Amino acid sequence: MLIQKKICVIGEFGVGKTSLISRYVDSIFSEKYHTTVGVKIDKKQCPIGDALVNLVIWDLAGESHLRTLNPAQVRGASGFLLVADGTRADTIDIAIALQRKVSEILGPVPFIFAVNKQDLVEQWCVGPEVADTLRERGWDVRYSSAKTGAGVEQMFLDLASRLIDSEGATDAES
Amino acid sequence: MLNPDQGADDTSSVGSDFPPPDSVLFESIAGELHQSTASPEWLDRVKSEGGSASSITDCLPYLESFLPDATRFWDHAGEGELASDFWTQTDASGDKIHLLACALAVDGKRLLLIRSVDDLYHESERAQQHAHASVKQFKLAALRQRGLENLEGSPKGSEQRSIETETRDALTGISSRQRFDELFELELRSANAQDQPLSLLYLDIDQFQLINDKYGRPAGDAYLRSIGQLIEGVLSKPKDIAARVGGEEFATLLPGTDATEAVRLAHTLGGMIRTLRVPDPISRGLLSATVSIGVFTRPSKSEETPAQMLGAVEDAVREAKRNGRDRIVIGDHPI
Repeated sequence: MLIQKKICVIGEFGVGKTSLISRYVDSIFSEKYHTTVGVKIDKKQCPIGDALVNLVIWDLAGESHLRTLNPAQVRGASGFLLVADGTRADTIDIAIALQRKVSEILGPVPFIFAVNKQDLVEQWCVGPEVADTLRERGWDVRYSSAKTGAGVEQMFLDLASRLIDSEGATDAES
Repeated sequence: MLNPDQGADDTSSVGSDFPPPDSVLFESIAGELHQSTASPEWLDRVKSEGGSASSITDCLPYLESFLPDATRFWDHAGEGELASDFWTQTDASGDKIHLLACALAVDGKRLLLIRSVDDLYHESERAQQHAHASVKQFKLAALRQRGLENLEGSPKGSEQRSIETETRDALTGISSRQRFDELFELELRSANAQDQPLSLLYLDIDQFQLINDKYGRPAGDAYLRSIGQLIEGVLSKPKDIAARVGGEEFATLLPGTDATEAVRLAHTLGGMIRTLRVPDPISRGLLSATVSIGVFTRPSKSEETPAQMLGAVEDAVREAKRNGRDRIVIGDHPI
């Protein structure tokens, strides 16, 4: 059974959204910074239980003063990956604001919050209390590194799995 | 459904007006897209990546988000065009293709033109990278400034922080530089979304070092606290922000305030600071100073960044100092 699911990857510019996707989809990482203009769409099939999920991953250009979230690009997503950069505290605040915006558009869909750049943990200005506070709010907070690959594949697989679970829950309710 | 035959007769002449071979034209008939011109090479590559997919949105998933906007445009527009955002997807061999769609209404026809736009994309990418680098530099400078303040004042220990801390300046009690930077970004986005002007005042107390030298640092600190309270007290709108952004430097961010009102507020602040007298219990003297103020208003629908706005007001303050202090200078718009 092949199930297609759209997910969005959202966060401030430069937090590593595109790098996380490249690591997951193509198993590559580039040190060079490439900013995404507009939207980048990738696909990856992943097995979840008996099902094969075709993840259509929408990499939305990072939030910045140049651009802000376009609701039309988020609609239709079954879940999202929210990304912040552990070395830049302000990206956490932006991520929190984005989570509210996206939840207003999509309703209560599954999401995972990735605090990225774990390979630079000695430069992090985000303490464990931030993750603790967000977990108390029910967030699934992960640490990841697109550079080393730590936590990346598991994060996408877990999100895909939760999309399937939530689809089953929706079917059961309807 | 992709249908290269239907609709081709009437729209092929329109299609031929666009530069081949990187574009493809579709006509929307009864809600379905019919391909009107031959497939460019990039579309063949995308189709082969999609396998036996027959839907245009299977091949080009971005259209899912653009077609509702395009349909609204076709339903309500006369003649004209509506451009999409850039989007990037990969072909069967993993190569990136940068695309741009444009909805057109021509002689009552609902047309969708899709072009491969590598050059335009890379140009935009360079501009965006430059803008991001500027913002990062600005934020780094702000971090360093805070680090210096922490060294000079009461140390706060590590930079680790919880979500809702470090919003207040420890000396004056008004917003901190960090909070100001965060709110600046948010208010700029809000101004863009709501087509509102955004004004910025930058206030630098004139010759403040003389107060410290003559009355001592505690007296100088008391004076700065009074300035912070004065500025915050003058701001009238709930979204107005007053912050201490440097040693004796303050800024106010005024969402929805136009240039005339911003200059009026600058004059009010300048006058009040000029007449402010802060008693020093030790010397029994009265501390007073003047202020140089830079003003910049970003009109609605303009593109100045926070870094450019701050650059403009800082330049304006420098000009005010050069011209004798105790004055207001309007910042130039970046070219």
